[in-house]
Amino acid sequence: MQRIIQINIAGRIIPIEEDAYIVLKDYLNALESSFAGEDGREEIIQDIENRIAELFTIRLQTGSPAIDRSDAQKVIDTLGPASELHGNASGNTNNANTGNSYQRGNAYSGYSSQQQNYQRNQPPPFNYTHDRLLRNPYDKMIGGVCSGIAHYFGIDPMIIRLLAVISFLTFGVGFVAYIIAWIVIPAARTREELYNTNGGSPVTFHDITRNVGEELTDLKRRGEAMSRELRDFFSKKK
Amino acid sequence: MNVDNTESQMRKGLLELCILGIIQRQKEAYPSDILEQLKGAKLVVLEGTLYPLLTRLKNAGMLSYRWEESISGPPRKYFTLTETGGKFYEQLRTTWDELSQAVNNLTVPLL
Repeated sequence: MQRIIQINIAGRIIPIEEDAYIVLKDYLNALESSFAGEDGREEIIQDIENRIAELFTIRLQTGSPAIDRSDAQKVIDTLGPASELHGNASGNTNNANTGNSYQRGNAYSGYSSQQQNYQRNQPPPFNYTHDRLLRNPYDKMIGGVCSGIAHYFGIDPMIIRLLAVISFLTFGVGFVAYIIAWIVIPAARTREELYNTNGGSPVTFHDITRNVGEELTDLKRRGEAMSRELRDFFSKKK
Repeated sequence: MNVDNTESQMRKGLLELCILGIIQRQKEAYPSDILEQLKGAKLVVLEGTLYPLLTRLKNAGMLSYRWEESISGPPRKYFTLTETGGKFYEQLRTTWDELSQAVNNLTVPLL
């Protein structure tokens, strides 16, 4: 089963399957880093997004209900891998004479110096930031702190939970630590974030206040659900 | 040395000339249209290579553009040559004529 989400790309609303979206997002991230240091980076990427939107629109017009993974991959293949698109018009660095032809007219000398710039700007290597510490809202007992930590270190959440319970019972130090972690660590918001393909941005004050608000309402809802379950449980017993 | 690499270098070198030529001939052209012609002529294999070139030519003052809404898809950027771009193109075009002539003369079998 695939969840279909709506994305806005170049001003078009496109229905796309979730894993196709992840593929696409990765590609756009790779483009971002491939064109890093290039003057017109944003414009180039915007133009490419425009083309993606156009190709998706054509695909949807042929009767497909949503863009799936193979559609997205096809479009990416048509455009070409991010690492191969930055190259300048005159080819690679070993033809040192390419600049000269532009220098005949004075008007173009600016252009030729720009060309040399492009040759110097090697694309940075792809770097995906490592896993960031996030609370897992889909696997939680209280706030998802333990399962988040477990995911971060790649161990079973039950181990962390056990350690947490032990630390709660010893003078309540763990309890205070848990509350702080709960407030400070942001929740993973999308499935993609859970897989941590996305780069980590530092937690801002705004995030923290929003976290607290959301968590309190969520906790209230869970508390109500729990007391309802308990009531049901005891009323059945009678 | 391999043939593919040399061929792709030759094509790359002529890409600017061809982009400017297409735009000049039609007075105005949008990227997908330019792409279709370049792909037809086997000058471009990966579509994504066109966009950085267009932006660089534009930033170098060779091209200008205007947005136009399209019924069938996202809005299109219609490119035209600026005055500088026109001169630049003429110069490249002359060089190409001389070059292709010279290359032909040099590589034609001797009688």
